[in-house]
Amino acid sequence: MSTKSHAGEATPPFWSTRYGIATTVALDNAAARSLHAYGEWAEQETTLLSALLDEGQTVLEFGGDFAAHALWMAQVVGPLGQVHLAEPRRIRFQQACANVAINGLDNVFTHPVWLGRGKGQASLASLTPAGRAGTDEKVRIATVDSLRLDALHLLKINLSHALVDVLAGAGETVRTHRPLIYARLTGLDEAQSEVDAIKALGYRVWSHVPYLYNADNHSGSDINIFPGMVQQNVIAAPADGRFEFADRLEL
Amino acid sequence: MACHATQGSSLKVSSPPPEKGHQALRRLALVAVLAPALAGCADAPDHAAEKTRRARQMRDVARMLDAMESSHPSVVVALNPTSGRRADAPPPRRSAALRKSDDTPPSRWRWPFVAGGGGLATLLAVFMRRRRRQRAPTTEAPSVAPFFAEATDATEATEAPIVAEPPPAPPVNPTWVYRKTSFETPGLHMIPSAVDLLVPKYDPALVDTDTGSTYLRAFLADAAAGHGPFLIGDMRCPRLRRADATPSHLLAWRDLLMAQVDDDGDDGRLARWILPSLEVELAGDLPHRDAVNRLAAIEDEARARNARTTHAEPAFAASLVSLRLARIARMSGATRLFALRALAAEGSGTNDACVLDAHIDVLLAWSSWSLAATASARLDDADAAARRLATFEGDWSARAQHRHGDIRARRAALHRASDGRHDLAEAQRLLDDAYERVPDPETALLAARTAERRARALPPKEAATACSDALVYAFLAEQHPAWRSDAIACRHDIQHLYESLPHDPSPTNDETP
Repeated sequence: MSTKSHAGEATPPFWSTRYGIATTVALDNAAARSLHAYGEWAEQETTLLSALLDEGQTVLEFGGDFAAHALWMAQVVGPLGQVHLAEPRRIRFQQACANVAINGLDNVFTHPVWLGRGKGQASLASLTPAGRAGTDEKVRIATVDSLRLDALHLLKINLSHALVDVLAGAGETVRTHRPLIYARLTGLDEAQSEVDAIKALGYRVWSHVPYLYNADNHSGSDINIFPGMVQQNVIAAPADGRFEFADRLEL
Repeated sequence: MACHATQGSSLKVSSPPPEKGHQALRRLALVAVLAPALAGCADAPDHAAEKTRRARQMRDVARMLDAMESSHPSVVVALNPTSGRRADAPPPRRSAALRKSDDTPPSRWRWPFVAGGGGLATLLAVFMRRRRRQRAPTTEAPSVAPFFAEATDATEATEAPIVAEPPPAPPVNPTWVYRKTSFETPGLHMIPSAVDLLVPKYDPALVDTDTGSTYLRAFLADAAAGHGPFLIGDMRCPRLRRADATPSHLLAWRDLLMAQVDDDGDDGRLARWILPSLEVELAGDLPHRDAVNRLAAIEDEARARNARTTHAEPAFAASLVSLRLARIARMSGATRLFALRALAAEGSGTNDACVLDAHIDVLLAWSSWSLAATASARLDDADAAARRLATFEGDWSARAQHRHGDIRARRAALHRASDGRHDLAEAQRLLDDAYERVPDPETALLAARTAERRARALPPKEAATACSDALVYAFLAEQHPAWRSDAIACRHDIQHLYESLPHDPSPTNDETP
């Protein structure tokens, strides 16, 4: 089974990735290109987070990335755990749902919402100023607290320009469950306010800078399509906890 | 005492009444015979006081003989210090005494002659006895200890009368005997070769065939020499430790193992057991992708070899643990986690001590690749497995104690430095106990590293004590070639740490108060 691209080349409908099957998508973003070229996305993130997760735990991920990480997280937490995936963009949400469905992940729950500081609707362009032209759409806004999760061990935020608002709407959940927080920083202008927002919740914050290219990638490709490219991420843990990330730079 | 009694007797008879002189002479003769005889026949002790007493005794006997020969009352009276006539009495002359003795009847002269003869015979006997004693070889070896004991006997020596004794002749070619004193340096409790599996003692329980299992071990030991690799741990399921072995050393071992790997005896079993670990070491020198492929091939070969053997190996899974962990270490992301889960699930329900010990290795490796609560959970699992390991007979309880100490030390690394002190102290206690049970260098090195970590977390004064503890353990571990390099590195770290501690300035003579 194959589909025809605009150039007339036959493309397979699925990509075989490290943690399951993924539907073929347009290569207009880094995650899609990585899945296509390497069969994985941000594997160094996975290396860190898989050392933190355990069976029976609950994860909330904001920004689906085609469920690339939901595939492995669902296996890590197992049938007793849960993975909640929030994706506000309509097509991206559907693509993520497709990947969840074709991999038979019963413990993954998808939510077509933008996680913010309140409830309502807004245009995506107003929420993500760096969005590409022509991609604007109306999205539904909800808070983390409104999801009423029974447990939360990891809050993973992939979308830029979202961290401060997500935390603003997650006050009760964070106070109750004290999850680990892993987030991608937006950029130079907002990094300080985002880190301060995490610390305001009583957390300690460490830096994590994973390379996008993994030499030991699933496809065995030696071609680095992300030369020198890293993500500026942070991992945060409650300050009243006993654990240390001694080999990380604390911010 | 004999000397005093003799002198006393002579004093009593020195001024006898005229009518009792005959009886007095008879008594004197009897005493003169018996006293020297007793003194001469007694086995005198060899010390200065006894020699002094003997000299005085001889002098008294000589005086008595002179007195008997003279038998002049004035001479005898002169011996009495209480007599006031001594100054008035003329000096005795031997000729006069002899003339006067001619006047005595023969019956009175019989006893003095008997006494004098007896005394002379006694003196002769004593003299001959002493000559023999001097010629006889000494049975006791010379010792330096009496020279040091002189000081303690000084008081007794000063109380004894000073007698001019000839200095003892120095012995020729003395044999020195060193006796223990309170000043000697206490011996260091050191096990030169705590775990030496290369030349094991014969144990019928471990030998299944007539060929025995020592041949391969002996060949491997020859090939290892002092650089390695080495076999460590339990004899039934030894672990490979590379130490300072180069690839050529590993290849020499592989040739030996490959020659025995299809043998049905103990040598074959040992070869099949060690070979996967050896291949892992060799694969470690390959590039990443080549190593991954080679490790997969090694596992296939090991499984095929085990399938060909006539006797099932109950602990076969344990022999593959190091191989599978090496493969897992080359994985990334969640793939590693899933592989660890599968491997841990295989060994969790085992009833074999070797497999259970290998299962703890898996859990500890898993913990090392985990963080925070997940790592702590794996350490909990490892602790539970170590408790099960302690129930096995033999040295497994000590091994379990080693594991508990290791786990506790790893737990300390998950916490903040201030929170980890208690865990490190408890780990140190467990490792001390494990080393006391079975003093193996692996435990010693772990205890040294734990003490070093404690020292880094403690205040300076307590840190210095922890450093000294760590140094002792590092020194003990250094005695075994399999652990020497790591132990030396550990010792250097400890020394650097100790030198970096802020020491209190010690007072010197140059400082003014």
